[in-house]
Amino acid sequence: MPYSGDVSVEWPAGTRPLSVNPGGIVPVDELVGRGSLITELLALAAPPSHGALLLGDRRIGKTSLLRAIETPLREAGHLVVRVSAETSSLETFGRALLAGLRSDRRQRSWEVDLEGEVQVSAGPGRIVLRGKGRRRNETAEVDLFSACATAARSSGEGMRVILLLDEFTVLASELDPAEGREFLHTLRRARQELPELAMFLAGSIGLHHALPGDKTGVNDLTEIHVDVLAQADAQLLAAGLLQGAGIRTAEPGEVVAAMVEQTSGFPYYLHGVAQLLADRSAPVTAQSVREVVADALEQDLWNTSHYDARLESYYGRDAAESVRAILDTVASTHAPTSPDTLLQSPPVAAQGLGRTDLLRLLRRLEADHYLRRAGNDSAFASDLVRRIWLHLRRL
Amino acid sequence: MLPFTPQREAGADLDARTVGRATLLASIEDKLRAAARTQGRPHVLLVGPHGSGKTHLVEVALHRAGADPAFASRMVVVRIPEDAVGITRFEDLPRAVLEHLAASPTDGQDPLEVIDRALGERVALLVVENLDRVFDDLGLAGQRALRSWVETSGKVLLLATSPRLFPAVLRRDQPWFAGLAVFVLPALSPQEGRDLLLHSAQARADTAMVDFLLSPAGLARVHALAALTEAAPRAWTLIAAMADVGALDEVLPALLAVLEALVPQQQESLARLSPNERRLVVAMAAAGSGKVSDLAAAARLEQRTAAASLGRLADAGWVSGRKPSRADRRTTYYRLRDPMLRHHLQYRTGGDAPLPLTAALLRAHFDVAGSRAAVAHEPPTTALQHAQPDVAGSRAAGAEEPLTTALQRRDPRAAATAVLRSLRRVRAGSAVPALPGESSWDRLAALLLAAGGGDEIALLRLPQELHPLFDPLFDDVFDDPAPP
Repeated sequence: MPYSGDVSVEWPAGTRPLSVNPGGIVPVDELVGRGSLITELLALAAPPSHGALLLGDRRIGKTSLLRAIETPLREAGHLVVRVSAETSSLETFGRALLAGLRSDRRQRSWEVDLEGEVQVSAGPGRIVLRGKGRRRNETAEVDLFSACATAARSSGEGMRVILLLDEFTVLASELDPAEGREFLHTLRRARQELPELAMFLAGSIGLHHALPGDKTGVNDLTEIHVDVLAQADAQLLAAGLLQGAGIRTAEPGEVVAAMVEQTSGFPYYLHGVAQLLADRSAPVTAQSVREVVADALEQDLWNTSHYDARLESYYGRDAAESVRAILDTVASTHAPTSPDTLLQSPPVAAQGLGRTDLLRLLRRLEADHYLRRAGNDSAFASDLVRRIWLHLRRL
Repeated sequence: MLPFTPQREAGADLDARTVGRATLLASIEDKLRAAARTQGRPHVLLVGPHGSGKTHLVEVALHRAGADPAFASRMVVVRIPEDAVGITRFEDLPRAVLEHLAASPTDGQDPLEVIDRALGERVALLVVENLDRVFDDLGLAGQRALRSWVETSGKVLLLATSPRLFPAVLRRDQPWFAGLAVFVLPALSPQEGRDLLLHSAQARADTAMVDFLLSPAGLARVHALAALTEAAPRAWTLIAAMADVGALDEVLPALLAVLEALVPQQQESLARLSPNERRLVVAMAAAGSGKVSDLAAAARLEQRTAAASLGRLADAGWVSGRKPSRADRRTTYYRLRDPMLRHHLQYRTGGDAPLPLTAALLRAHFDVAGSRAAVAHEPPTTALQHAQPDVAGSRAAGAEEPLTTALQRRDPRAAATAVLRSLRRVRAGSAVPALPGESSWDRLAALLLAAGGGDEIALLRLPQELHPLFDPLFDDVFDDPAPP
């Protein structure tokens, strides 16, 4: 390996070269540190579970997890359809679902009732497939989810059709609120009525933004929280990316530690840092890791300004200032901060927030992955987000 | 020869002419090979101004990756035409793939499903030029549909170019945020520019040109042309194709030949602008740089209209803005980004003919530098990984160069004095053809004196081609505003 001569400190045990790919589709066999989550998700594919709802910050790796369970589920005999619902139209979504369903011959048993080209029409409450019936001049209809159940039954006992629906909140938020709610309830009804069906849902937009105040469409699903990587896994990923990119360093241990510390183990940022380091021709040191992260924040290479810029659209103009006051206070305090401390801090006090309003905003900030709850206290979800906030607010 | 239509040239020929992009090419090639061998889909976006060699790099990367049997057998390369007037909706992209695959859906068939079946285990590699424009046309719904297609099928890879970074890939709330690995193309260093000229001269056995390029004077002229063209690869390619030793030695004729070759392209680009935007572009070319009120007055537009038009021009990558660090930071000074367009407009409109003067000044300046040992002995660079020029370093090595010393001390007065000396030498030597008046000399001298006195706005108003001479001061004095 080109860097072996430079090694003065051991790479973490088990390090293997990984491809640097910030934001892109990561090969499943290059996923690091997600083994237990994958096991948990696979277990949720079996009855009585209806599936899972994956929650986590943008670019944390939810899509990669959906991809990771696709093959083992298929190998277990299930009929798996993975669809990105990143669209504004139910009909487009329905067509994508239909195409996925047709990609496996076993999944086409329902086609005996429909002949000719099948049209998809999506409306409130159902997605319908229309085609020619068996009799002359007859038009036949099949409910898409019922078709899924038929396909599952025909492929063996215990087999299910498992839908992996990515970005479902994009579609839910693009529809008008009543339609969006109906869309989620359509999916829920199908899960309830058809035991042969399971769904795994993920979305980069929080459901509370897509359909504020309504979780009834997904409350039958187990919530799975996708978080940053554990330190040992983050080190493995960092080391693998350094090796994969052929980045030269005389101090791999220090560089890996600096990458993990600077990114808080967030896979997307680990890839991002590795990409920036790969663009440098000089050998890399721990200091260069800190420099590229500082530069990236300064130049907003990762659009981290969004953490501040989106507050008005997330919380409304008035509440946005209260949120800034809360985040300023928590970021400036080096320990988890209690609600009482927040209420007494000058920036929050100046907003005139009562305890109930403060707690409501804290819950929203936890849902939006700014903060995490530590007992009764609040802390930043990660040190990286805290540093981003300090940088944005020049604190 | 069509030097700026790389798609029409053989990849091997382009590869042989490539200088200064080794690291970048290796990264792109790695990603393309990885996509052919794994389920990973590392979409790539090359960003650089027009003429920076994006299409050239794409073709070379495809050529190199094509040598890998896995890539050749698994990837289906679908080129979306550079002037993608045909791609205005998402549906146009699958249509282009279908045409390439010679597949056509029957009535009611889902085109994406047909593509999926036709591809089988293969992957469609979409080569999309001007992705910024294509995404503008697709709109949010189209961008989402593309993302959805790419994610759902897992059989589509994008290899795209754009003259600028744009909100659809920069903003976290957009579907393609961080969805593409972005590579920004740096300009070629003067040494790499000389390498490109050398390759061309050697290929046509032009020994006179080879000897000249390897001489101190030759390298000095390359430095001057690099400052005038901002070292865009397309400019080097055109110089290589069109300039003889005499034109290169005189500098200005070589530059004019490039400008002449680019006229149709410049006119086509200008024709895409609205009348108000065109007026502002012309005003900026004449002024070099200016704030909204100055440019509005010069273009005879309402200030509000000018501000809105400048915003659009900035969004589209035509202009960039700078804010002085010490003066009123609310004011942005705008300038044209493309040096060749600036020259084109300045030269066509006549004005006070700053181009011959600037060219002569740079020629004289680098001639002084070129006579010194450090520059004279710079070897041709074949170490392609050294993409960044070390112009300041090479100047510093010319130990007696007062400008270098002044810049090291961050002393604007001494730096301006040094350039004024070159200016006087040009004037005394009559190296510049007769000028229409003295205004250029006077204006330039006045700006240099004011800049030397610490007037940073005067520094900003100097011809942009002289900025490389003052780079260390500019880095210190001006902040580039964040991209839109």
